[in-house]
This record gives sequence, structure tokens and C-alpha cells, in this order.
Amino acid sequence: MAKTILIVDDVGFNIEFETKLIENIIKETGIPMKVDEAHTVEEALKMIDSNDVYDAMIIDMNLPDGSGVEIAKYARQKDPKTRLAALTIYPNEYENERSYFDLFMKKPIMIGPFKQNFLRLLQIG
Amino acid sequence: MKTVEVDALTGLATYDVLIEYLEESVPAEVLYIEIDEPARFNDAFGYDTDKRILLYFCENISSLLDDELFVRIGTYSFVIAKKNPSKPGELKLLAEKIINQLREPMNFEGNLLYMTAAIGIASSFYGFYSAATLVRQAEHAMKKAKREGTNRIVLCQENRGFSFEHELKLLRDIPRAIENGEIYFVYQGQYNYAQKAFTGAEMLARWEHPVLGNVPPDIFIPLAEKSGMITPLMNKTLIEVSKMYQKLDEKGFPDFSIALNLSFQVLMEESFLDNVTFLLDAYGLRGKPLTFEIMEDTIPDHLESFTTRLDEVKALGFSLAVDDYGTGHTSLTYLLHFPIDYLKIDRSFVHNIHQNRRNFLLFKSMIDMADALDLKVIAEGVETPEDDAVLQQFEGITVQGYLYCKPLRAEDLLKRL
Repeated sequence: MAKTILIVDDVGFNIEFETKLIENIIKETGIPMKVDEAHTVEEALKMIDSNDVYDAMIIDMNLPDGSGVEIAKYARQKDPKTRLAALTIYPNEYENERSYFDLFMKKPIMIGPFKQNFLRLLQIG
Repeated sequence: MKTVEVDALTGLATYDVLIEYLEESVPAEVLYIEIDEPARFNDAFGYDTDKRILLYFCENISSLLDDELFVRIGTYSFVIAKKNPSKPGELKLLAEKIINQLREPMNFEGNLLYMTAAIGIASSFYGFYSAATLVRQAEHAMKKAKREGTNRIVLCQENRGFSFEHELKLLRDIPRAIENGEIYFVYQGQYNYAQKAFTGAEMLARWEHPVLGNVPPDIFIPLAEKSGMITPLMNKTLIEVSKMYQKLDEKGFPDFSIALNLSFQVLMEESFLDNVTFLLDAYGLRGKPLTFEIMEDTIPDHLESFTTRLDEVKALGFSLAVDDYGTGHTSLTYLLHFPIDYLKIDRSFVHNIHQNRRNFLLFKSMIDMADALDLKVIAEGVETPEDDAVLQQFEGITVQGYLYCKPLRAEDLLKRL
């Protein structure tokens, strides 16, 4: 079964970049994946409600209508097994929120580190 | 790579030592001096007269120095660096002493010779710069001095308003600026005389900082390099280029070429080829007329891995250009060995070419050489109709400068085509 991923980011550039990187990983690993996107906290919560449990989420911390932490808490409530990554320019500012996420990814996105972290998030390889 | 620390002819320290010295000493001041062609005496006094003159000159200068570092940086150019000067412009006094000494005829093996030089001075007091930037600024000031006449001194007093604290702030803010579009891109059109049209453009990064305003690229690019943000910036540039190509295709200009500046540091990174290959495929850039520009003064001496990397970049379908050609120390043999397509002749040769015979002759010789090596030429800094009229006799070349096109946002450039 395809792995399901939710990307939450309000910047179209980043969603496109992440999606293309994941497509590249699909090609390299042969693992089928399905990527959904949301642009706000509200949209993300709706996606979590209306879909089966996501295998993983990459959540931008700074969204127009709130923080990525809200999404992480909500996703954890629905299913603690969903793997969660926070995406932020300043990981050090979120020391207190570390426990809500499995890992922190840094922005701007770097190609090599993103791919490595994504595989870690999915616990592949 | 092993660095050469002592110049074989003069026994002076070399560029690498200078950079190390400056990196350890802020504030610092740099005096850049270039002697005007001592080789012109070779015909009269023997083939190695220039070398003997240089040694004589170095001896004289050394006698004026206190604890400054004295470095040979090019064939006829030298740098004197001073740590912890008490006030900006402290080296000016030394510069005046040097010029006064030059005004006296030199007793050279019984003959009286007059030597001339140009001096530029740059100081870290006017902003916190990287060592290499400080040297470049002094070099630019020296070139300005040279344009003004003989035995001139020019102080680079450009106060950019960026203090050390500002630079720390910029360093911290770069990731955000790349993310949120504060760093954006403009395009300066390149006009081809033969085709009577814009055939390409150079893409340039700009930073509009919300507090500090416009931050010049020669400030923020070195900071991006220092903070590891230069690779994400290049990624963003290439993605941005892919969007520009879509628009160019839609407007019916599929052959319009775009040139990007490539930092030596990015080029030599281990992950460079993987990154670029990914971006080319993911963003449909394969086969597009893209050029990487590499600044002449960042091109290293005899570096096999550099040539190999250039070959790899060419194999991906990119063209290569040497930027600011004529300002660095690229030996002509490099041009034979490096897989280069374009020479971008530096603006200092183009400026005032209609009046400055020396510039004209140098420019012409570069064109002849480029023709012989089958390199295309782009003349930078074309700003006046008078200079343009002179350049037009070189039919095949392309020109870039404010006279034809200032740097424009993508949509504004598209309107001009």
C-alpha cells in the first residue's frame, strides 16, 4: 500500500519543492507514496479528519492562521503512530515543542539533508 | 591543495598569507599598489629589467614599512596590510611616502628611470568585510586611481552603512530572506549587435531587507557563503530560472539564454552535481540555454579538480563564462584548458573606451584572442552612447549595461523583448 504523506505549508514554492523531492525519492526507492497538501492549520485539520491516518506529515511551523504545533497535537490525538516532522527556519525557538514531533527539519530546504530526513521520518533505510 | 607562501622572485608573502593575516585582524587596512608596466624598459635595458626593477622597488618599499605585511599579489601588483590601524586612512601617509619616492628618478644601474604607479586603499572601518572583499575593494580603488592619471592615490571610502552588528543581523536573517522572497531576482538584458536584439540576460540577486533596506550582493553573497546558505540560494535561483523559461517559451523566445553567477564554493561542493542534476530534471531545465558565470578572480591556479568539475558541468549542458575578465590573473593558458564558452570583459576596459586609447587597445586584443580561441564575447558596463559607438565596430559581440537595459524584474524584461 502506498505511504500517505501530508505536507502543510503556506508557501507554494516549498510545497512544490518538497513534492518534487518526494517524487525523486519514490523513483529511487521504488516505494509508492501519495502526497496531499494543506496551506493553513484549518485546512490541515480538515484533511486529517477526512482521510485515513497519514503515515507522515511535514508541517511548517509558522502558518498564517496558527502554529504547526496545533496540527501535530491534533494528528497525535487521532493516531499516535503518525510520524511528524516540523519544518522551520529556527529549530532552536521550538525547544518546548520538541516532544510533539519525531524530528525537526530546517528551512531553507537543502536537497541532500531533506532526502535523508524524509527517509528517517518514514523509518526507511 | 598546498598553498605557496613565498613569492619566488621577491621572497614576499603571497595572497593566501595575506588572507589569513586579514582574517585574524579586524579592523584592518589594505593598500593595493600596481606599478605601471616596468616591462616597457626591457627593450632598452635587457629582457629581465622588469624583474630587477621589481626587486629594487620592493627593497625601497620595505624600508618604509614598520610592522605591516607586504605581499606580492600579481605580476606588478603588491599589497601592504596593516592590523589595528588607529584611524581610517592611516595607510594614506605611507601611500604618500611611496608616491614621493616614485617621483624621484630611480638610479637603475647608472640610468635614471621614472616609475609610476597607482594606489588604492580600503579600510574595514567602513564596514565589516571579509578579507577577500577588503582586498577587492582596495584593488577597485587602485583601478580608479589608475583611471585618474599616474601616481594617484584613491581611498575607498564607500560607507555602506553596514556595521559589524548589521552584518551579524544579516547573517542571521539570510535563511528567512531566501524563504520569504526578500532576496529576489532581476535580469539585465544582453544585446547582440549582429542580431540587433536582446539574446540573453544575466540574472542577479537582490536583497530588500525590511530594516536595513537594500543590501548589495557583494555584502550578502559572501555572508551566504559563510553561513552555508549559498547552496539553498543557488537552488532557488535555478528554480526561479525554470519559471522564467516557461514564460520565455510562452512568449516565443525558446533560445533566450540566461546566465547565473556561480560561486566557486558552490561549484566545488561534493553535492553540487547531484543537486543540479535533480533540479534540471525536476524543473524541466535540461537542454535550456543556461550559462554559469564564474568570476575570474576566484579561478584557482592549476587545480585539476576544478577543470574536471567544469567538464562535468558542461556535460550537463551548461555553457560557461568567465566573469569580470581582465580583472583577475587568469593566465592565457587556462583559457585553452578550461571548457569556456564566453568571456565577459570587465567594465573597467569598456568605461571611456571612446577616449582611452589604452582601454581600446586592450579591448581589441581581448577580442582578437577570443576570436582565435572561438570564445564569444560579452562587454560589461556599456553606459554611454560614445562608448557604445566604439564597441559597435566589433560586430559579433554582445553588450550588457545600463545604456541598453538596467536590471529588471522578469515581467518587465519580458515586455522589452
